[in-house]
Amino acid sequence: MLVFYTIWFLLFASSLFPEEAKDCARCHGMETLAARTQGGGVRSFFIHPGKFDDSYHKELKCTECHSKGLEIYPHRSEALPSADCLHCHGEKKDFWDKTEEKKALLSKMKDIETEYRVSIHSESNVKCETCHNPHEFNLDLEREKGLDHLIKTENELCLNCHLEPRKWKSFRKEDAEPKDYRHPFVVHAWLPSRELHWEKVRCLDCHSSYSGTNLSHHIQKKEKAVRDCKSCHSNDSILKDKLYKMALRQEKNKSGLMNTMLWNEAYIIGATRNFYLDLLSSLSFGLGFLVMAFHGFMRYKTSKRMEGKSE
Amino acid sequence: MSKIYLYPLWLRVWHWLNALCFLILILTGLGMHYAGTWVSFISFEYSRLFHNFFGILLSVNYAFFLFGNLYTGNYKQYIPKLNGIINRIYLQARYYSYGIFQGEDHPFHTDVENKFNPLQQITYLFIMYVFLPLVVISGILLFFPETAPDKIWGMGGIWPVAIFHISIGYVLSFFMFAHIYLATHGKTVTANFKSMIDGYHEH
Repeated sequence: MLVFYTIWFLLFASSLFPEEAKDCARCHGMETLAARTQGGGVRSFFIHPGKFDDSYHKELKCTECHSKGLEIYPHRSEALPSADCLHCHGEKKDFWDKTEEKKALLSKMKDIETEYRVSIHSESNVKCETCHNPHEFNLDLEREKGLDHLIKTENELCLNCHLEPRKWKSFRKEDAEPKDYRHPFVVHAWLPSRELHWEKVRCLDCHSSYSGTNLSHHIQKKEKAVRDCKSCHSNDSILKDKLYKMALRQEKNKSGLMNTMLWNEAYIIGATRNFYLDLLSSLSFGLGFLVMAFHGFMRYKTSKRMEGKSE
Repeated sequence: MSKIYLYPLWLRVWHWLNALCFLILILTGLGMHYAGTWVSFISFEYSRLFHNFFGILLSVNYAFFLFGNLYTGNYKQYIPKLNGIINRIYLQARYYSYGIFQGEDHPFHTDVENKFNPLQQITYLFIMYVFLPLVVISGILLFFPETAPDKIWGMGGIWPVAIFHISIGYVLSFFMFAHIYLATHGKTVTANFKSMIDGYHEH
């Protein structure tokens, strides 16, 4: 079965890559292509052809990022990306100046870099590609699959490291202050309906800053995480500024009603109140109290009148 | 002045426990629903905690009520005689809205066979056998949200359940305030409250 699978990949998988990448795909299209790391783990070198074809980088040649050390097999360590993400996403002006859309994207990338530089991840070895696999990353595609999918995918990114003590430790810098690993289940023991929260909200909705550019890359220390229930569970829910920001903008353009999208996607106690129901209940109670107060007053007057008559 | 024993101990215990649950559930429900506004003076965290606890207590108390009602035959008080019911409801409503201000007597007197006037009977029937079970069931679905369907009529499954629960909650809240006010329509303003403490109704 493994042999058949390998042959199938060798014959067909490479055809899913761009023409220039077919040579690379001969090996990197094999799901079993991997190597042992010094720490005893396994590092995969498999590039999923279908996912690459859906990624933002689908039109890039492999050699755009991997230009050195390719002469021999297995490749030398220089074959790892010759430049980091910011080489293209921060400096390559000729590419980014082509359209207004690209200029806006470059500006956004710079803001993301600024956020990252002050985040807790910049104090470790977590880089762009740690969370955003450059061979697969396409946020727009993930968003199209719905909020539940987006939340699940993004939380898996965080939990990939934060649920694995060895992996978590491997990203800490050697000169960093010693810190004990704490399992997220333990750290979040205070949170009511913890698993439900993790299903419906992303880690970074509580663990990234809402100030400034608010692009969710300023991951903060756990002491600064959102812990006040009212922050999300109120009419001014901060989730409207992050998790639901994109979807709300789209929905508002469609229907003019901010709450419509929320109604369709989630119920958040205290945040997704129905204006008309609340208005109706307030008016009903107000009217009811007035009627009762008036009725009581008239009964009092009647009883005084009856007492007067009997005297 | 004559007294009749109308409310056995189990009924009075159920009634006051129900009242306490209603009060706490209303306050904590508002605490969560209007979190972050002036309406909510109990924090969201404690509102959630107490709403869950008293919601469970209300459900257990309701089961106790159903059992007690059936076992003692008290359930018969809730079954209206359909013959002439509209006229009887009209007479009682007329008394509350007009007759009481003319010094008229209550059109229907309370006895062991008929503890409720017609308006009470029809209201309590709906409250105890329609609205209360609905609020309990929808509350349980919210307590275990994974049991709610993923989508109801194209909307996220929890939202319609929540709106339903809140709407029924508003109806029950309104009932409670009206019930407390109407309870002052006894021989004296406090007579009916005393009845529900010692079990005796005074004519």
